Amino acid sequence: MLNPIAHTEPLALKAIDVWKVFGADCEAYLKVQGSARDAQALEKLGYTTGVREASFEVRTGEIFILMGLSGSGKSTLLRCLTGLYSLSAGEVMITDQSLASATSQQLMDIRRRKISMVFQNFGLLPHLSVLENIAFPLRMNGTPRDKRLAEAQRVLELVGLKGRELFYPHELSGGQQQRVGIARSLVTDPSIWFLDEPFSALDPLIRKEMQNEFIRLQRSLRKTIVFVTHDFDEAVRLGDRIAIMQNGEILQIGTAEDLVLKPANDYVRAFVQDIPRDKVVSLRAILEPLSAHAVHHEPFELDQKIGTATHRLIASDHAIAVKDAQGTLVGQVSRQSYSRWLTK
Amino acid sequence: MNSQQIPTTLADPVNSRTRPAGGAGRFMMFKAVTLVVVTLIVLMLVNRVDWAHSMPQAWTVDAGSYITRLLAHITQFTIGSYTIVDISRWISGVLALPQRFLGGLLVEGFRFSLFGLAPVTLPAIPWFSMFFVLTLLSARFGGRKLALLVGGCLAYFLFTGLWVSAVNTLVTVAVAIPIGCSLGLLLGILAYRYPAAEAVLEPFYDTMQTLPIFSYLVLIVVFFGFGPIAGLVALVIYAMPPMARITTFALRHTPQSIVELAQITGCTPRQQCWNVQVPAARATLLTGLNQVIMLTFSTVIICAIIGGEGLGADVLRGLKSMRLGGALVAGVAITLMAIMLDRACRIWIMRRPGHEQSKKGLLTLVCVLVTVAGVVAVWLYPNVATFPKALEFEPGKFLNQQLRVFNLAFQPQLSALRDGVISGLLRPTRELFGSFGWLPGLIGFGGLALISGGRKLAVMVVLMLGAVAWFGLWDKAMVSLYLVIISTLTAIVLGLPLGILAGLNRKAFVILEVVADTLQTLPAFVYLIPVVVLFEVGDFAAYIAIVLYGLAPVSRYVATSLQQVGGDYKEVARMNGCNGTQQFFHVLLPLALPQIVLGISQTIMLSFGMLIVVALVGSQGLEAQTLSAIGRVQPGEGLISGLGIAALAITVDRIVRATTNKLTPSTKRASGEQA
Repeated sequence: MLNPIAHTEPLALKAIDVWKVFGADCEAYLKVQGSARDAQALEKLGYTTGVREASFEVRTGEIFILMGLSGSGKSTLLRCLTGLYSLSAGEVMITDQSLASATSQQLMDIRRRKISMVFQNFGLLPHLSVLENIAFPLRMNGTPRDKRLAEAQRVLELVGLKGRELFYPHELSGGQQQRVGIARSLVTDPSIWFLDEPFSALDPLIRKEMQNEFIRLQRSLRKTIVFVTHDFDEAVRLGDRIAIMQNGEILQIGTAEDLVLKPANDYVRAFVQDIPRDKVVSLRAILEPLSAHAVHHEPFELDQKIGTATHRLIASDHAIAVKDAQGTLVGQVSRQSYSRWLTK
Repeated sequence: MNSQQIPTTLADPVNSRTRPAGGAGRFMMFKAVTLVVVTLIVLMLVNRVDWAHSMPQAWTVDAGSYITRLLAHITQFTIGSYTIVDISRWISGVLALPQRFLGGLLVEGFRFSLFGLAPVTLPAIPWFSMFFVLTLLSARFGGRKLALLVGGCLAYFLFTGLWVSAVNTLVTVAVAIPIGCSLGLLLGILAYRYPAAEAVLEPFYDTMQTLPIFSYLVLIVVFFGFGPIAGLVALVIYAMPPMARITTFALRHTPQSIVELAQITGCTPRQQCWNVQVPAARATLLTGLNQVIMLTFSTVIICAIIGGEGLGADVLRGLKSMRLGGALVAGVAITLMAIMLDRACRIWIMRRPGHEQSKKGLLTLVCVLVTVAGVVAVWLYPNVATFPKALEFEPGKFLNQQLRVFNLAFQPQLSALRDGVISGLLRPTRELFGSFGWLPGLIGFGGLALISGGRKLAVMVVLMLGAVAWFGLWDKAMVSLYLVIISTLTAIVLGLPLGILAGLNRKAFVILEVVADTLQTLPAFVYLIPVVVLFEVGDFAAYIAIVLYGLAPVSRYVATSLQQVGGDYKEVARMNGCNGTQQFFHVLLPLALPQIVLGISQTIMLSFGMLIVVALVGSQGLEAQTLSAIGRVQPGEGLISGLGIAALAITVDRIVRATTNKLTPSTKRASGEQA
């Protein structure tokens, strides 16, 4: 978790009962059906359901992950949130602007100022140089040439592409191409940043490097992010909250710890099974009441992951105190409580 | 079948074809044979009835003259104080401007007078400057190979004395291609953005591509008169549809992420089109350009018929006056120029922008200097403007002599061959086709269409051919059809074994590719030349020309489709214990069959295209009528007989394609038939 979000932050994005159904005239049908919509009945009528009854809220500065296997509807949902697909039913609010009722002019405005997107296959324009690619959104919204090139140059340096300004996309490696994609999506300084499997097309080593780069960027930018991935490790590394999807439906939304400790059903349980639990679960899970023997020197933090405490826990013969975010000691952890958790 | 899929079983292509069980099959067979025999007898009886055989004069309609009169009305239709012809002539005046400018720059020079002084002529860029600059540029951008090609071609033009013609052709093409491409691009974008526009344009393109070019040459003559500009207009019109189609295709296949990028950055529809999709589709669009170039060159000669200048006119003049050597030399020059531009364009397509700065300034400077120096040199010494006559040699004359010698030596054998084929093959077939009356013909073709493609196709075929009969063109149509069918069949009989050989043998395949490539870049007219030399004009020459023309595509399609059968399938065959013959008949042939039939139907269409060309060597069907209509400026007649040829071509093509669809295995259809 990069930066735990206080629940008092304002809402940045809100999805209310979003449906995306493919097929002719499905809007009328959905309206008639009202709240009693039934995906199976839809399938029978020959419609394909991409997303059904998706509702969630994303707070400012939060990283919200849409996670699922291919065909689970995660990319479709992302395209509903950005207005690339029109909604079949439901509503999406971007800050206080409704997407469902937006005119094409308003939609264009939202895209030019408030949101941006990174694509799985980069989506770079082959006829433009790196710098021109990055400056492209500014060119579309009519920013004067000098200003947009200066701005593009700044973002280009931010993503570590200095010296590659005049290269063309085909002259770059996959990782570098996605850096261009990222820079381009940041150049308009959007308030919500959508990323559609941005690192899936890269090989594992580069992917790791790009994830680190992403973490570094987000530390300074603190954007509101909706991030699509099929890789649970990536979701755990990058996300504040994760929504797990299957067949167009959101099965569970929660922190990685919630998903591991309280999976909503067998599908989620199977999904989180192979995750090293000590990297996800915090000390809260092995907390005992504070005893007199506990070491008070350098107490652990309550939200600290178990994995980061293991070494000292095992080496110490005594229990070690744990403090919460306010610095109050709230309990202790010990070698015994750790081993009890391990064998559970 | 998708060749990328790794096949695990051969059951699919072999077994899924429905085979009725033994007894029932025999009964079906018996029924079918009876049906065919009865139908034939009925048709023959119907054929005996006079009015069913040849349509009475009173029933037919002379649509041609109606159209001619209608067009005459249209041309005199006035908008304000201008007639339509005034407007079309004004358009040709505008088109003439770039043509005149380029022509002045490269061929004629500019004459002007300043301050009332005696007129001064600024000479055109002389041959040596052009030679140097073009070779230098191709060396810089395409390397030594391209430089050699370009230099060689230019030298050929110089030494054969065709330089002026060649530059004239270059001028026409250089004006026609950009205009045709930009109009095509705009139409293609229109069709992409507004489906309604596509619904209108699509059938129009279809007709234009099957309609023999002669029949709209007549229309062009009506609106633009004879002369180089009319030729230019013909080139533009001919080159436009493929460009438009490729544009629509390319835009429709823009990667999804690029389209979404455009939307997510908030592009307006116009921005999305011009700033994102068109530039992103650049590579495909340049392929379109490439096609346009090849098409343009293939029509250069045809345009000479209505007064285009340059190499095309040279070929045509040679053909008409039987100075065949000269025609051949000019024909080869057209081919060379097409190859030269094609290669140059390909290099342009493959070239991608790079971040390294090149020394373009120096190159431009050198080119400009050489050009200016050339012009100045010609101004001072007008003699150097023309390539020294002493260095030219006329291979045409030499060839003419050689041909005469050859002809004299082999005359008996050649005539024997010609007479044999005419009396043994051509005449009987022609009589057979000629004996088909219009009514039995309609019933026969309609029946074929019904069996192969169903009711819709049958109605279409009957309507089209019915119109041909109604317009009184039936007899001529049968003459055209006989020629195409017999020549295509001959081409298939000769090409099939060649294709199979090359399909099975890698070495033979490589050789075939080279030969077919060369033959297919030759303009169709070039095929006429040796044929006329050897066999003089007439049906036989036309027959041989079409056969030769069809041979390359037939054998190539067969070979390629056999070669394309994936190595996986061959391995599967071998591991299932096939021997060579079994592998060919049970695996290769069934898998390649749909493609082979497609190739054959393509060849039929090509033969219909060639049919128009052989009108020049004296065939007598609809095509001859189209050709003669140009000279007599009878646009209605030209158009109607052209449409007749298009109707024939479409009929044959659709029936062959429908049959192919029937032959392609499909479990879906099989189960549907059983149900």
